[in-house]
Amino acid sequence: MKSTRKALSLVLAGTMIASSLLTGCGSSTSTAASTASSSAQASSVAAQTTKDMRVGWWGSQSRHDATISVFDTYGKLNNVNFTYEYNSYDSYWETLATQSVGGHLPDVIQQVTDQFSSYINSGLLVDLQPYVDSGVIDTSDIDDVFLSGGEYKGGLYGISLGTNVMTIMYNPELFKAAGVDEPKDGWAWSDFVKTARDIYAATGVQTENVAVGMPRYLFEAMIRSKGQALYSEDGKDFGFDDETKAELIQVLQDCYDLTTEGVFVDPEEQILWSDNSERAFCKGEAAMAMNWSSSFVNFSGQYNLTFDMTTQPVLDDATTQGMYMRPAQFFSVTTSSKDPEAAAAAINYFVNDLEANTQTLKGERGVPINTTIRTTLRDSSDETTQKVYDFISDVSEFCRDNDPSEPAASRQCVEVLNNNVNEVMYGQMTAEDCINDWMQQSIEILGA
Amino acid sequence: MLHKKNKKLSRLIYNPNVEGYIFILPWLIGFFCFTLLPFIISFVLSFTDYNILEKETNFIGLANYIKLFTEDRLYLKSLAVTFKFALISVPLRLIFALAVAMILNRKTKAIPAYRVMYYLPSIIGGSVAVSVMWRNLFSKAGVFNSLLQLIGIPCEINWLSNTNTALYTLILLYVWQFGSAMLIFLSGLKQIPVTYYEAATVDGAGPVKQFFSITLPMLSPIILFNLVMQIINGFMVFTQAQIITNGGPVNETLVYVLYMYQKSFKYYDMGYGSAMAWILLVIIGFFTALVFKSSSQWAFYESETGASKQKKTRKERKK
Repeated sequence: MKSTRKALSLVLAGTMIASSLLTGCGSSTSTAASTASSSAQASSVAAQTTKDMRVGWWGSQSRHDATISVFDTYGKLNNVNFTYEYNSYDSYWETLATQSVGGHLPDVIQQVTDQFSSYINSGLLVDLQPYVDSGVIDTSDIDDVFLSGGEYKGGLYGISLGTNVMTIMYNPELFKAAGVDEPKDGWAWSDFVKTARDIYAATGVQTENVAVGMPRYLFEAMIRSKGQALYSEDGKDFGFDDETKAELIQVLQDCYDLTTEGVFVDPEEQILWSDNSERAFCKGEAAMAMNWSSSFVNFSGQYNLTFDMTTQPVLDDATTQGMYMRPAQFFSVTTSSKDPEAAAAAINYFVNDLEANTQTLKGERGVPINTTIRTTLRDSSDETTQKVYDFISDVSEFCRDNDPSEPAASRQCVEVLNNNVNEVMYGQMTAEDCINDWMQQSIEILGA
Repeated sequence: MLHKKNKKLSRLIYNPNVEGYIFILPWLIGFFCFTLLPFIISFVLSFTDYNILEKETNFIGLANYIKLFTEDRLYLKSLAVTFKFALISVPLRLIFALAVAMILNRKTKAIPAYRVMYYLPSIIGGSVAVSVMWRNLFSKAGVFNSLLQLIGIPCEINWLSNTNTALYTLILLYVWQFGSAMLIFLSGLKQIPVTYYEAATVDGAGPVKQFFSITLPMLSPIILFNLVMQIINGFMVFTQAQIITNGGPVNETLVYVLYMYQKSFKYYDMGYGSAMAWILLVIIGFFTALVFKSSSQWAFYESETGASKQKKTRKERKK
C-alpha cells in the first residue's frame, strides 16, 4: 500500500516536471510551427530550397510595416524566408548586444554611426566591398558621397539607407512678425545669437535651446568649420586645438546667457519633451530649433505649420565648411550570417529597387542615396518633403567629407557632454568647467 | 546481480529525500540557472573589464571598485540620490500603509472593495501608463498646478524637471504604492486579540494610548518584516525613475539601479555594472543586518514573556 502511494507520488512529480518543461518550451514550439507554415507557403510557390534570413531594425510602426512589406516581396521572389526583429531604439541595441555575445545576431542589422565602429572592431560586421565589386550590390546609381559614411578602416561595412543633415529649422511667420530677416545659409554663430535676441526683443518669441539635447552636433559643425575634427585620427583624443576650445566655451556661455535672458526656452521645459508634439518649435511657439533634416516633415506635420531650413551656424572665424552629410542609418551584414552574399543581395534590393522605395518605403529613413529613386520621390512628394530633398542637394556646398568614423567609446563621451551641458543650463556648472571636464573624462574613456 | 541493482534503484526511489528533491526540481533548476549562476558570474565579472562589444576581457582586480569611489562623480551622485530616496520614502510608505490598514481594519461590508482600491496602485503603480500619467499630473500646466491654482496658490513649477522637486515627485509616486505593506499590516492587525482592546477600554485607555501600548508592540514583528522588505525595495527602485525622469534633471533622480542599468546595458560595461551590483548587495545587506540586530530591542514576540524564554528564542532566531 505504502509503496504504491510512493510510486504514485513519483509519477506525479515526473508529470509535473514534464509539464513544466513542456510549457517552458511552449513558446518555441509555436514559433517553429508558424515558421514551418510560412516556409511551406513559400515552397509551394517554387519547389526550391528556401533560405532563412533574419533582419533587425529600430523605428516606428510605419517603418516596421513598410520594411516588412518590402522584405516579404523580395522573399517571395527569391525564396527567402525572412524573420523580423524590430524594436524601439534602446531595446534594439540591448537585444543586439546580448545576441552578439551568443553569436546569434540577425543576418542584416540596421546600424548607426555612433555604434558602428564598436561593432566593426569586435569583428561583428562583414566588409561589403567584395559584394560591391562583384556587383551583388549595385552602386552605379549612387554617388560616392553617400557611400563614404559606411566606410571604416578601408572597408565598407554599411550601406546608407538615407541621408541626413543637421539643420537649423525656423518658422518664417514668426520672423515676419518680428520684422527680422530670415537667416541666410552659411551664417555664423554671432548671427544666430543676434537673430534669436532680435526676435525675442521684438515679439517675445523664444528659440529652442540649441545646446540642450544634441550639443555634440552643435559643436561638431563649428569645430569642422575651422578645418579640425571632433576626434583625432586614431580616435584616442580630440581633434581640435585650444583656440577652438576657447571658442566652444564662449558658445556655451552664450547659450547660458540666452537661457537666463529668456531668449532660449527654459531647459526645465525643454528636457521634458518626449514627443515632437510637445516641442515649442513644432507648436509654433519658438522661432528656431536645431534638428535633423529627417525630422523636418514630422515637425511640420505636427500642427501643420510651414517651416524652413537653413545651415548650422559655424564659428565666426570659420575657414571652411563645417557641416556634413550623415547616413541616417545603414544596413550591415553581420558575421553571424551564414550566407552574407544573400544578405547583401537583399540589401541591394532594399536600397536600389525603384518600386519598393517609391511605393512603400518613400524615403522614411532619410533621403535615398540612389539618384533615380531620389529624383522620382522628390517629384512625386508634397511640398514639405520636397523642401527636404532640395535642402539636401543645395546644402552640399556647405558640407565637406565625413571625418573618420567615430571612436567606439564615443557614445559615452557624448553622454558626458550632454550631462555637463544640462548642468550648465541649470546654472550648476560653468561653461569652462563643462568643456574641461568633458574633455578630461573623454580622453580617459577614449584612451582605455 | 539484477536483483541487487533493483534493490539499489528501489532504495533510491523510496528514499523520501529523493522524492522531495524531484518535487522541487523545477524550482531548483530555475534557482541554479537563473539566480545562483548569474550571481557567481557577476561576482567574477566585477573584477574584469568585460564589455559585451570588446573582444578582450582582462582581470583588473579591484580597479572597478576603486574607480567607482574615486573617479566616478555620477556614481557618488547616484548613491546620494538613492540614500535620500530610501531614507524618505521607506518610513513614509510604512506610515501610510499602517494608517490605511488601521482604517480598513473594521467589519463593514465595503471593506473588500476598499482593500482592492488601496491595493490597486501597487499593482499598476510600476506600469508605464501610470508613469506617463504622473508626468502629466506634475508638468507645468498639469493637474497638480491647476489644483493649487484653484485653492489660490498660483504655481509655475515644472515639478519633474525642477532640481529641487523632481525626486520628491518620484517619492510621492513610490509612497502611493503602499498596498502590499498595507495588506501585511492588515493581516497583522487581525491577529491582535480584541480582548486586549476591550480590557484597555475598561481600564480607561484612549485610542492613542491603545495604539502605542497594544497595537504597535503587538505589530512589531510585522513592522520588522515590512521594514526589511521596504528597505530592500527602496534601494532597488528603478522603473519610476527610468520612465518618468530617466535620471534627470541633471541627475537629480539618477537612482543607483538606473545608473547600474545605464552602465551595463547602454555602454555594455558589464564588469563595471557587476561591481556596482555587488556594492548595492553589501549596502542592502548592511541595512538589513542593522535592522535585524536592533530588532531585539523593539520587536516583540508574544512567545517571549519570561526572560529565560526570551534568550532562548533569540538564540533560535540566530540559528
